Amino acid sequence: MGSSLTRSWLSALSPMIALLLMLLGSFYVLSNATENAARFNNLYGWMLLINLIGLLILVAMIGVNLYKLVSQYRAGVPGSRLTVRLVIVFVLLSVIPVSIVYYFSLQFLQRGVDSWFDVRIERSLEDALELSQVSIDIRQRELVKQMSVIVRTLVDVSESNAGLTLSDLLERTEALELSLLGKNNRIIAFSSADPGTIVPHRSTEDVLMQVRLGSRYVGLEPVKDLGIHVRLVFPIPPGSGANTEQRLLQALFPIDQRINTLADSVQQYYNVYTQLNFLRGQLKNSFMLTLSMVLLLSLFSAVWVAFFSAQRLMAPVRDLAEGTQAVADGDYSKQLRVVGNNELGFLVQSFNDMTRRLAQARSEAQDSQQQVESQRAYLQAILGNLSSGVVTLDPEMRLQTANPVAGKILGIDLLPFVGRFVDEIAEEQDSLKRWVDAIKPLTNQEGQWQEELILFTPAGRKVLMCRGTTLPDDIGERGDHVIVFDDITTLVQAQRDAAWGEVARRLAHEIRNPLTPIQLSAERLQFKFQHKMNEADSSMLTRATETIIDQVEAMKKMVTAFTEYARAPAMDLQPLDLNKLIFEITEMYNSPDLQIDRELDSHTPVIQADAPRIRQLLHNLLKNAMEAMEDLSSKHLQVSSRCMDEHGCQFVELQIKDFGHGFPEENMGHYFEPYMTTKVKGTGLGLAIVKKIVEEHGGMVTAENLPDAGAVITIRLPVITAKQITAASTLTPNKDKA
Amino acid sequence: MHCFTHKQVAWFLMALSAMTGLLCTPLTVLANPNLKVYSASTHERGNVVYLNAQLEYSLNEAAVTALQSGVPITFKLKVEIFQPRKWIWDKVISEHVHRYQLSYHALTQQYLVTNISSGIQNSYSDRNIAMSAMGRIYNLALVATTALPQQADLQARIKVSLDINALPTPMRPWAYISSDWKLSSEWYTWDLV
Repeated sequence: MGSSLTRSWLSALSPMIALLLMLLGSFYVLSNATENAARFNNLYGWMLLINLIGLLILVAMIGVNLYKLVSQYRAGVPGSRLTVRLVIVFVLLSVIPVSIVYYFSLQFLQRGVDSWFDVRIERSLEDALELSQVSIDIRQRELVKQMSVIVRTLVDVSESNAGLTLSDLLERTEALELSLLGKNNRIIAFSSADPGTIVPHRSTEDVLMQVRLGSRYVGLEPVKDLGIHVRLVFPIPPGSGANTEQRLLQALFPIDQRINTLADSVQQYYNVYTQLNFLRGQLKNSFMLTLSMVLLLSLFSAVWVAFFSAQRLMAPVRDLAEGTQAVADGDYSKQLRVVGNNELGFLVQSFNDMTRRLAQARSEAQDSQQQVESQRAYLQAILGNLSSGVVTLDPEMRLQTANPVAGKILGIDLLPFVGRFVDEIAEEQDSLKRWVDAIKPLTNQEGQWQEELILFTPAGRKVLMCRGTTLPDDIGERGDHVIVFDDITTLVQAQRDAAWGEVARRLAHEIRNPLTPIQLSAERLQFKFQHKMNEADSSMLTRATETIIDQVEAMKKMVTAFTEYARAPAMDLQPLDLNKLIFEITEMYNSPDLQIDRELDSHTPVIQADAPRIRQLLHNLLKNAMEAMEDLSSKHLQVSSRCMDEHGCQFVELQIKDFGHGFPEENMGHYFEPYMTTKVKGTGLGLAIVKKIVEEHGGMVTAENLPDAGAVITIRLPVITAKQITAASTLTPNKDKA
Repeated sequence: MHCFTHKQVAWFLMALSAMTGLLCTPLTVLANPNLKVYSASTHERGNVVYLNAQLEYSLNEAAVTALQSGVPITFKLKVEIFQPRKWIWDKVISEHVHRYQLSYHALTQQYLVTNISSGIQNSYSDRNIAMSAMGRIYNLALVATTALPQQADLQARIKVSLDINALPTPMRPWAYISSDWKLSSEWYTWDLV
């Protein structure tokens, strides 16, 4: 890991290192060139340009880094503030010492260069130069004398002898070369000590011109490779004879070898010194330029390295910040690159472990949530397929859950009301009010409870068996209430039918069967002994047997009535206009001594009912009323019907009022039970049958006494449409079984 | 390592070209009238093309001071034989560079003119005489006629300038950018006979 890290650092740094090395190399060349090193001299200009470009590249790179950093800082990118701080610290750490070194280097440079130059040295060099000149001057004077002698020798020398004479003179003097020039500077004769020289070192035109005008020329002249020589050009006066043109003698004399060497040395160092002195300012500038460029290179490199290392150092911190942000946003899959075997690496490793564990924990939580969900769905499926309604309420009596069957039994879809208080629901839905009123006190009980409730729902009267319990919550306090209820209307009806069927069967079997032998025996007794007895006994026998026969007949009727009651033929619900039926039947009872008032509401809707049963119901009620007013002189009946809308249920209410004696108070509450009669005659089944028929139609019947005299029986029959009947039959699939 | 956007690259290139332009501009500044080519001509002798020319050298104050301080001043004589072309740049057939160095010999108080190519050195007691001697180009062999294309309209041109690269190194940074040292003549062109 460490080696890969080093590799990545090296690969990131290598272009920069290459650039820096290149610049350093070129600075080396530059500084050497400044010191006049010949090998780099020609490269000086290029090096300067290359270094400038290199520095510009560095500046550009720093600029880009700075721009990026400032943008990141402004954008609030994680880690950017710390990066800025690190960069500032790094830059200060590098800039301050480098600047101090630079300042003092400049000072030393200035003083160092200045210290090379001293007025005394300059003076002494000038003196040395002058000394050289003076020493050469002495030699020059000697040579002038020598030259004057030679000139005199050559006055009368002819052109043909000139060469020999010059050679002779050359041998006698120390001259390097002697040349005799004629008109137009034509070389008449030439002689040189150096056999390789075939052409004389010519004097310049102006010198020759000057000599031809009559003056002599004595001058020093550096001859290439031979050192300093004295050049003498003397005019030769025209002689007698053939030599009439003005000739010039040109001579080159070397000076003493030792003097020559020393003078050359003095000249050379004087030249170097004056040149350096002249270049002093530019030399300083040049050194300063090189130094400044090296400083800039160092500074820019340091700044760039500051950026580079700060960003490198901060990269894991930035990654960590981003990773933490990602984790905060819920992304636990974030894994960071481990940066090395240091504290940051350890931190990153810990972060990775943390996210891994978080991801694992979340995955487990999701699994368990899925399990819970599936269990919940399973439970929902079970609850949905239960024939019982299941409702849960929280301790504040808010509806928590309700299965579909609960809604069907109660006649309301409960799902939209989940989360709301049951009181609120009851206020909105009147049909639930009775159920809520009945349930609320029961939920306060400890432990399990069970209660049978009778509701009047849109689908008619319903008998519910409710069972409930309170679940303990997490801390053992009273928690949610669970209420399970079943629609046992059909079951109750079936049980009752079965009970009465058994009664009827037993009556038929135990009572009706002996009745016929009793009747026949009585008739036989009458027939056999009536004629054998005297008139008085015969009369008594006849009365007794007739009594037996009448009573047996009455018992037979009673048994038949029972059978009728117990028999439960299938209901045949058809649309029925109740008002019309009431009118029809009350018309049958119309007589002069009976007043029947009818108050029939014309808006009463058509109901679904079994017409023969309703007909029997009306007959029973009317007969019952008539019997209640039997001993009264004026009989008055009131029959009314109306349509009512109560608790969200629409029903038809039928009332029959009689103004007779009313019901005995002691039997209050039992009027509709079989054999509950106060009359001498009658089976005691009239009102029981009425109740049975009403319940078969899903209705309710009540009886009460009127305040003054008389009684009223109220029947409420639900307005059930054909559609609701179908729905009701599907709601209670076990009706047939029950 | 760093991804530069197009914009950044464009900016960088602009800055670079501006900097390079700044460095190069003084080199191409039009000639200072200090140096002149009065006349120039060529003639052929023995299948060799020779050059005769009359140049005028003169030094400004900075150059004179440098010369007196022992700094040798080098002049570069550039002769080109070329074939002029109408639409594109001329085709240079041969190019000759000769350097002449003027220096001051303090001990003898002479001005030395050295032909660096041939090594011939002459000394003069006066600077102006030295420069006028340096300005007389007489029978300078340029090229063999065999090296030149036949039946082509050839031209020659000559230009003389101060060689900054021959100055001592410390002087050069300033000389590169200062007009004092931009001593150069204009091109003098003539038909090659």
